[in-house]
Formats: sequence, C-alpha cells, structure tokens
Amino acid sequence: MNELAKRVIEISGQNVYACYQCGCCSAGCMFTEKMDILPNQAIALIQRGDKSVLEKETPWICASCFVCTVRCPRGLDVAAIMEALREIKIRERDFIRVDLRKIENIEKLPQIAITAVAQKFTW
Amino acid sequence: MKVLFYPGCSLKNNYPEFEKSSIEVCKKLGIELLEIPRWTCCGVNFSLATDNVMRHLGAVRSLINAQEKVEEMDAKIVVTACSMCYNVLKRVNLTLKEEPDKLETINSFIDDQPDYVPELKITHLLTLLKEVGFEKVENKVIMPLKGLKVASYYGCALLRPNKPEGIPVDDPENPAILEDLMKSIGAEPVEFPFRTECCGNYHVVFRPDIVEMRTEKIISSAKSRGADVIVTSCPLCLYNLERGNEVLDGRDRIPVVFFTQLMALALGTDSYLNDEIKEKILRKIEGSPA
Repeated sequence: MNELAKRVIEISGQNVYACYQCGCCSAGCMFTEKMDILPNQAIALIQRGDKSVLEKETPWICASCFVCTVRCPRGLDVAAIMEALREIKIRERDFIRVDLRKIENIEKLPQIAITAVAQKFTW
Repeated sequence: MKVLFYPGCSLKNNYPEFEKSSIEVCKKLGIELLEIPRWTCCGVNFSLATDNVMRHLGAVRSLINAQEKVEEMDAKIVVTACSMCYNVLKRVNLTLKEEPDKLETINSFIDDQPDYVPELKITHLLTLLKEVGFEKVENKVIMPLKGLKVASYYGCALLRPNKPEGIPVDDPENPAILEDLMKSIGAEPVEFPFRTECCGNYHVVFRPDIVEMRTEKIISSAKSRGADVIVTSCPLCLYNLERGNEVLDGRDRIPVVFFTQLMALALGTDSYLNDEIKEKILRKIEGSPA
C-alpha cells in the first residue's frame, strides 16, 4: 500500500481500494463545475499514491453534503475521503487555506457559517 | 410532555423566530421544550476524521449537561430544531454508542464534568412531531393555510449520510415528512427536484460564488413549480437561500421561512414572521383576512 493511501485510510477509516471508478460520486456531486478534478479521479490518484491530489482544489470545494456517500455502490464514505485529504494538508501546521481575519461581512454572516468554515479549514 | 431542548447558536443569536415559533408550536401540542443548562456550540459540522475525537467535545459537553437533567423529563431524548445541530449531536451520540474506545478517550479527557453514558436519543423536532402525530397537528389547526403553495427544502443535514443507521429523518432520496406536515396544516406541498440538494454550506464565507451557483438553481426550481414560500429547518440554508434570492431577483423574492413559523400561523399562535413576509403569505391563503 502506498504512503498516501495509508494516511487517507488512517484518517477516514475508508478503504480507498474498494473504489472501482464507477463515477457515481461525481455524477451526483453538485459542485463539480467548481472542481479541478472529479471526486472519483481524486480517489484514483490516492490509489496510485499520486500526491498531486493534495494540491488540487477538489477536496476544498467538497461541502460534505454526503450525496456521494449515500450513493456509493461500494459503501465508501467519499466525503470522509475528501476530509482526509483536507486534514493531511491542515495538519501541516504551516499550511493556511483560509485566513479567518479576512472574512468580509463578518457582522452579517450567521455564526454557524463562520464556525463551520473554521471547523473545516483550520486545525 | 416535558422534553429537553438544544437550541444551538443560530436560534439564539441570528434566528430567534425559529426558537420562539418552535416553543409556541410545541406548547400548542402539549409539549414543553426545556432548554439544556449550559449548552455549548455543537461544532456545526460533524468531524469526519476518525482518528481525532477533539472536535466532538463541544457536542459531548452539552450531552453531559443534558444527561444530568433528563431524569426530570418525560422521555430520554434531546430535541433539536436546527438541522445542523441535529446532524452533529446525532452523529456524535451514535459514534459514542458504537465505539466504546472513543467514549473512553473523551470521558478521560473531560475531567471537569461527569462521564457521558450514551443513553440519550437525539431527535429532530420534525420526528417528534411525527411521533406525536400529524393528525394531532391537524386537529389543532385554527387557520388552515389553504391555497398556500409550499416548497419544502430539506437540504443535507436532515437526510444524510444514511450510515450509521438512524441519521436521516426520512428516506434520504425521497423524503416526505415536511410535505406531510405541510398538508396537515392545510397547505399545498409543491414537489421540486432540488429539495434535497446542498445550498453550499459554509462556502458562503469565502466562496459565495459557490453558494450563489447552488441557491440560484434551488430557488428557480421552487419558483418554476409555482411555490409561494420555501420552508426549511436549517438556519444556514435559510441564509444561503436569501443570498440566492438577492442574486436572482432582488424584487421578486420568494419568502424563505422556518417550518415552525407556518405551523404557528396555522395553529393560531405567534409566528414571528416579519410583517412583509406575513402579508405576502396571508395574501395567498384562501379566506384569510389579508
């Protein structure tokens, strides 16, 4: 098993090798038009140990809506795999995806949105 | 019936009309919602990292406080109205029920509160109402919302994921609980294909373009089916849909309200709807005073 897949499995608890590339996750995903690679392609890169997946936009666009998770015929929690990819980056403590000090309209946004973004994008 | 209630941050700070209308509606049905003492933020999103329990702590602390009070209640449940709080509390509770090693880690970490014993059940207000019986709701209706076309927007947190078992309040692909409830208060449910789709969640903070892309589609779909109003149980969905309303057509906004507000209107109690929206809704109801 490659090092990347091992790490993803450790964090997500999902056996990424179970994916057989049917593309169900990507077909149901509502965010693909904002992604640079499809969710099933991200899993293929993990299977191959290709760390370029960590530099893609896709995991950060995933909003954890779980449509992929509900529909995966292999029972994979695809959203958890995306979270693992984010976590790998976030756990490199010098990695900053978002700067919470630079939120526009902070007084108008509901705190639920700010807490959620902090929860997903920072350690 | 007395039950414990977890209001959550959004109901307290941004959308008090959701909390107040929930309490009013329940009162009409003989349910007393009692706020959990010293509750804290649930965390909004359930952490999907299985090797780290730290992000579950907020939810657990509130559940411990609930556990201390639950003996005085009529059921061992914690009721939530916010979809996001429901999803997080439900999943944290299920995780701790199913994974004793995580429960042990958390209990040994929290040394300023008693241990958590996962015997509580997390229930969404919709589920509680269904258990009480929509026919009971129907019997209490004073002003049926006849002629009002309601698009029920579920979003994600009420329905997904479907594993472990017990998270969705209804069938995740084809739910009916909100439509059934709307029928019980005399309204006419409007089916629209985007009702279970995602609004874009927290992306509203740094990537509003994503939320706008999503909510434009959701709102256009509801409008094209002739909806007069959209109901939801998620404060973040409501905020995001309002944003879609703005982008789409600032003048012809479709009102987005919490399901409890329409219930309150029908049950003859304070709906906490703002005047403009209330008038818009009343105008659509056959035989209403407006």
